Amino acid sequence: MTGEIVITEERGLAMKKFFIYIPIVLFLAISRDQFFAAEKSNEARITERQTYSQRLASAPGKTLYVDMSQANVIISGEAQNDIVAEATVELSVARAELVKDFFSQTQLVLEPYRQGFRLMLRSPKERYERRADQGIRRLMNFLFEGDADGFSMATELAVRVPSNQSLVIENKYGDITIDNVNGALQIDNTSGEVVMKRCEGSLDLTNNYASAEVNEFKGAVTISNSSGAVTVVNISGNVRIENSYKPVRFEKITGSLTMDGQSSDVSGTGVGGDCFITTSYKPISVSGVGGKLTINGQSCVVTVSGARQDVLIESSYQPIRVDSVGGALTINGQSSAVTANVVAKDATIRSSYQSIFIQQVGGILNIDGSSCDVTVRDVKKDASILSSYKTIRVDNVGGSLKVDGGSCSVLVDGVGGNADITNSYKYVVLKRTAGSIDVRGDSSPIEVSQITKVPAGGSINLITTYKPVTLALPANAAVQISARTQYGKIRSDFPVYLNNDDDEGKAVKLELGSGGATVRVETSGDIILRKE
Amino acid sequence: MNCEFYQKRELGEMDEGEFSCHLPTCAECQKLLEQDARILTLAQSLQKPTASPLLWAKIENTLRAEQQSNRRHRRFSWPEQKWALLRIAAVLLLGIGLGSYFIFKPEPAEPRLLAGAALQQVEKREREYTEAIAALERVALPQMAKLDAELMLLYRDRLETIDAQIARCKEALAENPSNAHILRYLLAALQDKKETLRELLQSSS
Repeated sequence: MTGEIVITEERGLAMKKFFIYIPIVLFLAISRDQFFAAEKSNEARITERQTYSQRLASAPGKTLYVDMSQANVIISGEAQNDIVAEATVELSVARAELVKDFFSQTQLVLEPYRQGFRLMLRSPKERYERRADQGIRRLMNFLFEGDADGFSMATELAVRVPSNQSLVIENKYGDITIDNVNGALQIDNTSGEVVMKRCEGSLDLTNNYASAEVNEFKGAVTISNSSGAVTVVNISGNVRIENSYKPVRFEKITGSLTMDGQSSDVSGTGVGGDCFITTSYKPISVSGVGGKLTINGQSCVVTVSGARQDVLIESSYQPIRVDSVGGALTINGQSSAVTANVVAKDATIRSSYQSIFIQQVGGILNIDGSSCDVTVRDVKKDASILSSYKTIRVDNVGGSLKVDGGSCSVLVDGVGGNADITNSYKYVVLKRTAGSIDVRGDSSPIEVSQITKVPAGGSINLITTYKPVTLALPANAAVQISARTQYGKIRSDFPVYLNNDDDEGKAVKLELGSGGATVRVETSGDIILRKE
Repeated sequence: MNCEFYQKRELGEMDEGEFSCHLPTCAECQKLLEQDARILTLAQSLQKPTASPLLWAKIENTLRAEQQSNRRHRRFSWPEQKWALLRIAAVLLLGIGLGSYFIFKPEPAEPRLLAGAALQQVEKREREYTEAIAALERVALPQMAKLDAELMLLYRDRLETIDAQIARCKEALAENPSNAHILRYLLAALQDKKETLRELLQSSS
């Protein structure tokens, strides 16, 4: 090969074709996105934007009515007297001439209205929407108004108002943001987020299907947000919320909070006044309530801490936990596991089939727990417990103790007053009692020991069937004991008088000290009298 | 496969003495050795080519003739050459110009409030959600009967609320198909429905 290119006639023709075809291929390759990639519906669409402005002097006490549709609205309050509005309209149509026509007929209107002013966007939207009609209407539109065109529009409205401006806003499918506006604020929105910051006055907000957030508001707040999340933070006033299916969050409300929700997750801290919460099937977590707290949460997990006054909780099937209540505590929890720590006043708990744990109660304790495992610690005053089929444990009751536990094991350690125990089929163990003791069991073994004080003139009655009774008395106790067993044995560390005249089994009597309490022990099992 | 002894011998990694000790014990090496011998014999029997007299001269003449012919073809007249070059230049310019236009022309501003190019993605997502919902409904809705009455009513109410929102969004989109805000909320409602149906399935299991 010599390296020279021989150009024949055939080759020349091929080269001409080459230099023609290459640019065409190049052109097609570069422009393919323009011609082939886009969907037919987007290919020829034209999107244009136009801005409209208006300005008007406001006056104190006037209300601005904002009547929009499918617009994002941003309103800010400033130190000025004028209302200044700017609307940016974005339009997408199939033909360029329609854009010009549409924009030329669109107006941003700011005019006197009722006792205030009205701001709205007037456009030929309706006429253009009819172009998208189907069937005979489309044909009619075509015949009388030209070709049917796909039409899309969106608006962004920015408004500056005097800081002291009342607002009434109606909108849908658009977000609303309001900042630093003081006045009577009424907002009615659909499917758009609403955010309010640093406003004052009163707020009445209705929204749905999107979140509503109010930050730093001075005044009363009422929010109704169906299927939309609600967040309220730093509110100096009372708050009322209605919503469903979405979370509610609150923080630092100086006034009261009333929350009425359906299947809404509720959580928050810091309510200065009373707090009422109603919801279902979702968790409720509340802390730092200065007033009364009332929770109605069907099938809700409830967590409460730091309530300064009374707390009332109604729930079911889910755990309830309460920590630190400054007033009285009342819990009605059907099949709810209950845990309560530190209640300054009285505590009343109702539940079933789950565990109940409560400690440090400053007042009277009442527990009604059918088939509940009950644990009680440190009750200053009297305690009354009703349960069945589970274990009841009581430690340190300052006043008297009453336990009614059918088929419950009962373990008591430390009762400052009288102890009254009724149960069956399970053991009863009492320690460190200081008052009269009355234990009535049915086939229940009974054991009483470490009696700290036998009250003078008081009584100790330990009565059961079929099972042994063990009573340990201090060596220096002053008691008169009468013990009877039908079929069992009697064992005593103390000298006893055997009563042979008793036809019903064995009976003994003994007297320790003088005066003192009356002790009566009856069972058909064994009796053990021990000296401690 | 060749025996490795034979390969080593071929590569010079084994001397002949060692290979000859191996050879009697390996039939494969013997076969390969026989093949080698046959090829050598055949090669030796081939006739060596002999150059014909004046061969080189003939080749030289042929080459010379070809060169003269090429010079003749490449000798265009100046007008023909000029037009050819002009045509090539024009086509190149056209191609580069059009290509540059499409590469460098400013992109139309992507709409902020309307869905624009993202509309396809949204429509695709809507179809995916709709299919997932249809599949979940077939399984989940019959399970509602297993729930207790209150929970069942709650789920029913919730699904009806979501369906109403979906219907409202679709109605609004029929009039305003590219509005990004409405599209967002339609997708949110569809996602909500999908999650609610999943939750319903979990509650009833």
